[in-house]
Amino acid sequence: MKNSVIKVFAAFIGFVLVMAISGSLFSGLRLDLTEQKNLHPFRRHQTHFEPVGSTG
Amino acid sequence: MNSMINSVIKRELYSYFATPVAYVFILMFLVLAGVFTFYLGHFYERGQADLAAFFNFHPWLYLFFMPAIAMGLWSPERQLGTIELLMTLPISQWQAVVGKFVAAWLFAGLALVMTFPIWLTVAYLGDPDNGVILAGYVGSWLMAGSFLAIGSCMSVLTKNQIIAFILTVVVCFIFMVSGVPMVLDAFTWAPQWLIDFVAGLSFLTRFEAISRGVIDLRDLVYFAAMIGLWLYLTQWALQRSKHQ
Amino acid sequence: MIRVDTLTKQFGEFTAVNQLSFTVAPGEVLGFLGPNGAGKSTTMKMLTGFLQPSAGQITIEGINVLTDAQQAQAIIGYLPEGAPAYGEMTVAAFLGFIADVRGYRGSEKQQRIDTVVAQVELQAVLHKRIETLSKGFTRRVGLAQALIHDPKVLILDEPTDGLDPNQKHQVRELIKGLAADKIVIISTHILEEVSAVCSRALIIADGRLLLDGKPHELEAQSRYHNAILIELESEQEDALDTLRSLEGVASVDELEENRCFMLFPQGGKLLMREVVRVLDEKQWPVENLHVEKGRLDDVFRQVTHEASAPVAAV
Repeated sequence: MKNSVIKVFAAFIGFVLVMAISGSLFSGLRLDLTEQKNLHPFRRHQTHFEPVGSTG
Repeated sequence: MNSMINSVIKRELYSYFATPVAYVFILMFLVLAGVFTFYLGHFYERGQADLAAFFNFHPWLYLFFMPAIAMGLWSPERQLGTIELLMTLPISQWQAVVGKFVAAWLFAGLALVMTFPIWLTVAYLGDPDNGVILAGYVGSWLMAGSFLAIGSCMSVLTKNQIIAFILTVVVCFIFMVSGVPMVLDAFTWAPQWLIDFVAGLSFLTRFEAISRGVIDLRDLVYFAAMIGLWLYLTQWALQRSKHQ
Repeated sequence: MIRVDTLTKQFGEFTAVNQLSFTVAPGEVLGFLGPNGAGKSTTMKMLTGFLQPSAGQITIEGINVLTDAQQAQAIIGYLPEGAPAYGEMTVAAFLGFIADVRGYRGSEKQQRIDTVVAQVELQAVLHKRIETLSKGFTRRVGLAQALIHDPKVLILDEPTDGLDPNQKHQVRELIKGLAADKIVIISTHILEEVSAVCSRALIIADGRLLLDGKPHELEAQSRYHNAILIELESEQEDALDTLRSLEGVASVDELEENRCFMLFPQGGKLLMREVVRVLDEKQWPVENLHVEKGRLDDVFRQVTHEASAPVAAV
């Protein structure tokens, strides 16, 4: 019974360790999927539709 | 080994779609996602060709919908006695745990994929950053997996689906709000690394990071570790009941 | 070959199975006989690897079930109590899943399914959802899934429980028709099932093994074994005393005053010759003369009563 409780603690500690290690080890490793950095307002076609509840 | 997991996945998915529940679930998810995006999220008023309004609500949608899926993973088996059938077949506990989880995750993925009309909408209305949107979907799916892994563990712990649901919501909620400013304020006494760590435990923090369009390996590790941790605990709980 | 060695299971303070030991050889149909709560199901759950014992060993065809459960499960077909199944699946889909897990693919898989469907006669309900089936059919689905891989070992927990007499008969015939090289273990609290189906029986109560023997051996332990029932056409005043005095008679029950008697022999002795002699000598008009077989329920009650102190009527 005690053995199984230890397993739970070990699991959480393992999780924390993985997070800590990867935190320092993997900093800077990233995949940038963004295309442009600008915000994208809707096109000028927006006159072709009206948001619900807006006036004119 | 894999074929066992596949057999379990197939069976689970069969059961999902054998009743109207799955269809109703997906429908409700889509409707709610739509309502949140367009009304609560002021999608049109914002005037931006991005899906921030859409993705912002995912954690909160998942807080309800993922526990609803997960509660059916193990509790009914324990309630109805089919677990005795499953666990006396030549399948290992781990295979059963993974199989059920993957089936649930695929189902959640299906619901997510079916929101693609929103992507089409924003692509028609403007010129969105598709990379950012793709990242958002990836992050959302990973987050869904984390919710489900927690739910899987909770549902092994009880025969009662409702209790499994509530437990899952509570635990997931804790992992969500650990990144919220209000909660982090309670840690002003702590060193910065601890504050960062607590924030880093949060689904919100991690998901937000990925949704900006940059998939950091550390965020992937986080979700993988979360899912791994809770699936391990699911198997632990199963093992305990065998020795009980 | 199944070897069970001092098998024990405790749930907290409560001991469900207490140092159970026995072996079963191929060709045997072994019956676990015992009152409800005796530990029969718990034992089966341990044999099939669903529960881990608190102590003891189980070896099935050389495989240690405690350490290599999956290996053992590959050669075991198990029907749990109540025949649980995934209700929302059709019979065909359910058997398909089981066949998948058992490693069958393609045409061989279909063949295996067809074979068991024919064996338990499920053709009519093949495409019905299991939750819509009657108890009898659900039980047959459970049997089909246990048989689908033609296992060396078959473990059936109360396979005829809740079935009507016709269905009971069908299931028993099925069990009897299984190949002679299999090991079959069934549990039951229906005594006639033991006589009907089993080649050997273990009487289990309070987690302990009380008796182990062939059904007719167990019957021989009954006080009714070779007892003689005598029914006379008319009352005879001195009949009771006369019968009591016969050689080899342990006791006589008077079932109807001066007319109907049950003679209990000492140690299962054959009394017929003496009885016939006395009947001829006294010229009593005999209506009925009958030798009793041992009654299993008698042995059962006797044995289980002795084992556990005050116990309500079985």
